[in-house]
Amino acid sequence: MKKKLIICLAIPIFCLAALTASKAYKEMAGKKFTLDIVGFDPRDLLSGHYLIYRVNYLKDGKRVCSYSDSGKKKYYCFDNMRSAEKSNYLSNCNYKVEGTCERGRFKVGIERFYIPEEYSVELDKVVRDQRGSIIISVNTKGDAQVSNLLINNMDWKDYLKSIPKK
Amino acid sequence: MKNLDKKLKEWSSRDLLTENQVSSIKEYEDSVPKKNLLINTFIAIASTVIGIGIISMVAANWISFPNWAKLILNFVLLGSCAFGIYRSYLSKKNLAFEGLMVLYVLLCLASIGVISQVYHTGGKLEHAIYFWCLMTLPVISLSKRFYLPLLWTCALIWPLILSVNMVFFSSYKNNFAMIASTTPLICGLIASLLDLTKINEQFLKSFRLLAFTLGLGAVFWADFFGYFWSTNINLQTLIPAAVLAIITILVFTMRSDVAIKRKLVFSLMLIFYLLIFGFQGVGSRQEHWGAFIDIPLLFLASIYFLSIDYKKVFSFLSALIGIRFLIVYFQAFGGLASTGIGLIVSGVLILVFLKLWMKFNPKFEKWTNELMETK
Repeated sequence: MKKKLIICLAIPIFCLAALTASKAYKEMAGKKFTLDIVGFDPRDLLSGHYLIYRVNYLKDGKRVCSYSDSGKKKYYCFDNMRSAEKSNYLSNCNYKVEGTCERGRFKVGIERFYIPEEYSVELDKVVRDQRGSIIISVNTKGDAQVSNLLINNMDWKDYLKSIPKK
Repeated sequence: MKNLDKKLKEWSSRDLLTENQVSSIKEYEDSVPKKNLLINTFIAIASTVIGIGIISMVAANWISFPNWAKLILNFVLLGSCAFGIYRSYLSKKNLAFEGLMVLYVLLCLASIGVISQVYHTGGKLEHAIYFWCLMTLPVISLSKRFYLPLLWTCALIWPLILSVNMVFFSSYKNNFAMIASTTPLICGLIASLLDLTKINEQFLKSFRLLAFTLGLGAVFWADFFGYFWSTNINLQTLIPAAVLAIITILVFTMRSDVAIKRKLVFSLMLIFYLLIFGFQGVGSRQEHWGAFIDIPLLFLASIYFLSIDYKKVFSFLSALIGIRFLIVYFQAFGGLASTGIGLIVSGVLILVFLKLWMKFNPKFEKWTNELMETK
């Protein structure tokens, strides 16, 4: 029973350590890209402890998905900032991700950033003013992960320190 | 313990027990670990509150720590808790063991939250809960109490319902009908498999409790369906429930230790369960007609639960049968019930039902016991 107990107690710790290691590896090993973000819904930019935003993938404010594309899968290439409906259309691309169109948004799982609730109002305001961008880490397998949030091209924590406290 | 001493004294004074027997009973009772419901409940509550407190503290102060510090703190907490469980097991402190187990599994859930905050993962809540269910299953299966397996069972079923919702049918009514009819059967099938294999008694109880409570809720929802929706449900929504019911019956009938009559009662119970939903998919009907399926179903369920020695559930279901009869009366003679005479008649009827229930319930219980014991 002793051995069984030790194994059973170790399993969750091992699983969580493996999850942490995999996330840390993806963040460190991937290539970094910076993308501009905007608020997409006037009511729901903030949800509790995290900021939800829309990523500007294409130049000139063009969108990867339209409202009629809901439910469709699409692909985006970070190398040349292009999107396509099939993966093989982007065959020369090293860093591409697969995403799903939902209500006009191209979702790849990088659309939220955890923030402390006390700074939510300030961060909400600057993201609405289109002063926000995110650094994401992408690997050649197509995994994308958010690394940091930038406000006026500086780390969001530094930005919060730089503004006068009310 | 005081009650036991009192009883032993009384039995000994009436020469029902010898002094030796009295001292042997006392010795045995002292050696057995006590199951104090109140203490267990408070330990579970305290552990849950501490767990939630830790989650809140981490959530509220996370900006103050660098990411690596948050992760190290998280794993130190997990490791300390695991060590505490191990030590309490070695020193045979059952209450500390169970309390720390609750804390440990909640910390595991909090850890998923911490990791997703640090790395800004965009996954869905149900994925995190599935991951938690998977990794904590071995440790929860070591619990000797009911609380953790029940927590785990609920955690498993809830996201399952969420993930099924709106996948198969476009209308909320049909989705709800499918979820309501299948969820209790999923729990019932797992309970039957656990009963067949005798793997874990606490998980068996948890799944059985969920199957019973969700099933009862589903039956009453289906029975009073007409009050919620004016149109019938699509009969195709019941196909998954029918398949699950057949598999559950097959699993149950595979058991060699169960009398054939109990197998028959169980199978009939599931058939009536399907019928009450099927009733909502065909033709126009009057509301009180549902009672023709509902009452036999409750009757079969009460017999089944008595046969597995769940006497309280049996009494509860017997009372529900009485209430359902009253509802039939109100449904059929609603106009009469609103008048003065009608209310007096209704009140008298309740008393008559109560009297009949008190008179016939022990006889019914005895008859059912005899029926189920014979093969």
